[in-house]
Amino acid sequence: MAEETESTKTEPLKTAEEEFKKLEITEEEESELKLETSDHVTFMVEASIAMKFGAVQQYLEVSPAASASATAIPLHNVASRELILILEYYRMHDWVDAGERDLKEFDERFLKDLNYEELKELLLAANYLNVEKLFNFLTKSIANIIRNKDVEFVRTFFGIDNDYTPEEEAAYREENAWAGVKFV
Amino acid sequence: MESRDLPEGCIAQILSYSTTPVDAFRFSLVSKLFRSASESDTVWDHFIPSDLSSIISPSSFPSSISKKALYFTLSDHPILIDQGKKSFQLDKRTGNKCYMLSARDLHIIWGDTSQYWEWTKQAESRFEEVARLYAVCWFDIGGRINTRVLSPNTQYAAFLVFKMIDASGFHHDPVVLSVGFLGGNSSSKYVCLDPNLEDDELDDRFRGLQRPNIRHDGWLEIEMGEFFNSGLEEDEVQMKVAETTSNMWKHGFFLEGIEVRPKHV
Repeated sequence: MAEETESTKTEPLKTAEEEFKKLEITEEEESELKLETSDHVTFMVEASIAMKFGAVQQYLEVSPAASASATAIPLHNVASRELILILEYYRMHDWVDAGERDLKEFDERFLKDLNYEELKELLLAANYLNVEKLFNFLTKSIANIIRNKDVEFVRTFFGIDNDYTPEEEAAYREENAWAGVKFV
Repeated sequence: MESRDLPEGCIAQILSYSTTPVDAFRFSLVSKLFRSASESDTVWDHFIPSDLSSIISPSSFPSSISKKALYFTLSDHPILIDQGKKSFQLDKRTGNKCYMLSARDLHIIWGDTSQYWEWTKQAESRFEEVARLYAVCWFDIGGRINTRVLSPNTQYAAFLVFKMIDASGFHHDPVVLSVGFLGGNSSSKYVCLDPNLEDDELDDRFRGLQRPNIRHDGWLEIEMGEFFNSGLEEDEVQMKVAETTSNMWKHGFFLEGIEVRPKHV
């Protein structure tokens, strides 16, 4: 996944897993982790869901104590708005005994309720949190939106300016004459 | 709300769902960040057939080569497979699989009789040998390919790849080309195979018939017919070339092979 930092140290990961197992064993009531978003809202989140977030796992590798204590795990790049959506998505996909059709309907509705700006913010949050399933769902959905659209639409969609000089663009097109792209 | 820029990895992941390399290239025109994302392995891995290692040996390429470089190598340079009897290539615009069946991989009537057909080397050939027609009345060539080896959900066409050098005998009757699934319907058509024939040498039956085109590799080609590979079931595609009606002796035809590649609309 994108923007992943060093996460392949196996030893601390084991610690986090062990902590997680401990949590599972001790759950009379569902065990929870406290997460704090960038706008300083704290959430009590089911450990079974929070542990799917790569960023949470990483944090617990470094400070395993946070899983048991009242300390909130900070999510610096995720606002409460996005976290609510992410939790909604994961609760549906991981908790409910939902059929394939239910999930498909849920995904469609989930997507329809988001405008382009919200979609991008959510993708940034998914990328930061390192949540694979949602990341793949969002990138694929964006790919579907821009499919068959012209380059200008894509620039507007992503809020990106064309930073090619006319000369650079002409040379680049020349190099790629094989693609036969004559229009912008 | 102030919009934050997406990191390159996110964009690469989005571009990896592009349908074809042409789409990926088109999006690379958005900005330099998109261009950089569009060159990543994440994107190009999708355009390389997942079963590539069962077609060509993975050792044919250095493992350090980028996926994009591998893609272009595979689309720019046909690779010999099946003991040199076929060549494999990717269609550059779509990444779909292309094959050429060499003359040795085709069934040529009288092909093993040296007074009729001769096996020879040609500098411009990708194969070890091509078949040179010395003299024959019964001009009859056939080939088969299984759809299993082709890309699914793709419209394909078969092309006869050949040369005519001091050719004669092709002016009397048109040549019949046909393509179809074995045991199913096949479509056939009459063509004028010899590009050097002038209209005044030909009778009315040749009027308006398709003629061959010159390829980039110097050979001639003519489309034999097309078929759709759904990929849902396995079929044997049969391709035939014949002129067996005129009883004229024919000479000067050099057979490179039959190429099966995606048809672009």
